[in-house]
Amino acid sequence: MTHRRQSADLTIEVPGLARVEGEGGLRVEVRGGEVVSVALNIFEPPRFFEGFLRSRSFEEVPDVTARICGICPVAYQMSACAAIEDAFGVTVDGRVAALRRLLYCGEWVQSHALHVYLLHAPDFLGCADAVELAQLDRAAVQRGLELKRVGNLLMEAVGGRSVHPVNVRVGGFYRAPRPEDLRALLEPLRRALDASLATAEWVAGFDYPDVEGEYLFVALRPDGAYPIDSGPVASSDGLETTPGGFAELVVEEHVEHSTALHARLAGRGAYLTGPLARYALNSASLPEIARQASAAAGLGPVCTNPFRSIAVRAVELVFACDEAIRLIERYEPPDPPAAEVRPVAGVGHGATEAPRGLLLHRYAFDAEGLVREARIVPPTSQNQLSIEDDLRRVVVASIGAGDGELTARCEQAVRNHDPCISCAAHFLDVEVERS
Amino acid sequence: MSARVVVAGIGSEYRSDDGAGPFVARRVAELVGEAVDIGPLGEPLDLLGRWDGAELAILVDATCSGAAPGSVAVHDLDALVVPRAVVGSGRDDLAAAVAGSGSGASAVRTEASTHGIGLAAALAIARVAGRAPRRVVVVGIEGREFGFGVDMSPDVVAALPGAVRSVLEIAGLEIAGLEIAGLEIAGPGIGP
Repeated sequence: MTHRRQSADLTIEVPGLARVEGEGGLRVEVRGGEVVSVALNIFEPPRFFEGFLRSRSFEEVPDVTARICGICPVAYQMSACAAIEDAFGVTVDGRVAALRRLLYCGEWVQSHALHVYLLHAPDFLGCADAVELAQLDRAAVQRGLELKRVGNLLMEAVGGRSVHPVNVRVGGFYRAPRPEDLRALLEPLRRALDASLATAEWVAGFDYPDVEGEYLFVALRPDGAYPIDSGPVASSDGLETTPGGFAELVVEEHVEHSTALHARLAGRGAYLTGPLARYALNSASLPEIARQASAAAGLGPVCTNPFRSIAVRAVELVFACDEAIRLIERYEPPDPPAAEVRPVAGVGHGATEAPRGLLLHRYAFDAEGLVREARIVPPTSQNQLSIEDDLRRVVVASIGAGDGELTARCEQAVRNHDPCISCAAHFLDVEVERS
Repeated sequence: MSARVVVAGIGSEYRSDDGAGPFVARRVAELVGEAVDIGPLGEPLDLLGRWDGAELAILVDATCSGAAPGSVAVHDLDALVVPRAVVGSGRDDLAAAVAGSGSGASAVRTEASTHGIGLAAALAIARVAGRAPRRVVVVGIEGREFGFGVDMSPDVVAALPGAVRSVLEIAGLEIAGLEIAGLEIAGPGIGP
């Protein structure tokens, strides 16, 4: 630990956050009772992949980018496919689109279950980690694991397997699942829906710090549907544009303290993607059962308390289970399972809603369909500036707290937004050094 | 019905020697006689929900414990006390589980694995929730280079056949059917 505190002076340093796909650090400096700097540095694996993809065929892109994140491979596949199809002028069948949305529901369920139960809930229940939570409330953790398992089942049924699905291709799928195989998932999904409703009630009982953030929310906002796999990009200050238009607005900058790029919106500044943004811009499009869960969780139409993001995730769990059931009940196998894809030279953009937020891909291809240029903007890099703003607020509000409590608050402030590194649940090994 | 066995490779194929685990697990799948391409598990947490109820889970993972690169170590976690752990300390994993043996360590911190949330934590959660495999065996392959890249170090490449043999031996002594990353492989079994 390396807090250095001289009366109102304080430095919080977090040297390294070990994880294959997320390495970073945190430094908060306070002088004379004022927070003078907050620097969150989250290493971004997409930079390697952008280079790795150059000169590779478009057909490899969905599978290669799926390896960027072990938790949300579908998001990377879907944004990649959308961008490639945009570049080549391919329109997919409505049944292919519905099947993609179904696959994506599986990823939302498993990822949100993981975050809500194993990574975030321990913060609210006085537990050091998920192991302690499992000892305190075994039934809750079992419920979370069962939700995750059902999400995995859905990914396997549509994607061919739940880790890096192999059935996804540009234009659609290699094969369409048999209707009977999907119908077999209805019963587990109905139980998962009940478990999601129980999740929303469970988190409603948590004690939330009274903190409100000031966010510029950015999310997809399709007409009349909650966003997952498609839609125009919208913001809480009135922006509405295509993924390509959005790509023009996203400015990624090198900052001194970080090897990663930090994103801001041109002319606007820091912004936030993810559950809070999706919910704020689309809560009116939630189905009735999710709106009821939202009310049960104590949420209004917009939530700006970052600590309550766990409640929004619970509502999205309800939505994803309900949506999966709806899609399976209406399922007709796409035939053929994929649109014909002929490469042409050009540029394409794709944006979908990863569990953690908007995931933007942009590719330029030559006439043979080889990648000339790749740009991948993950939710974590888009959210970094807003997370730093949250940290600033938390440190100011908790400046008089003891080292342990302040550390915990900082950890939680980061974890509220579920950045990729939060897989290391209590990763901020903040140390305090007083002089 | 044969005992359920899970073989999983943990790691990223795009982080140099970290790809050893997925490589070995995939090779095992090929040798068992089924064209099953397994998905690499990026995180030990991915095991939750996939190894539930297994009689035996064989996990192949790259390590960075300080041993000579390319050395292969087999750890039977059933015989060890897994420390209560450290879900959060960021670097717990295989060696934390090993180092914690008999010590009752509560905050063992090592850099044995490349994964932020460790096997020790995943196993502890699964055990408390009643979903853990009866036996967990880790085949660790000591790596040298974990930066971005798709090529493994020569020492690690040289160790891969031995690691594959270790997995087959461990599985062959135990089972007649083999499951790779959640996919049942019907077959005559492997090993004796």
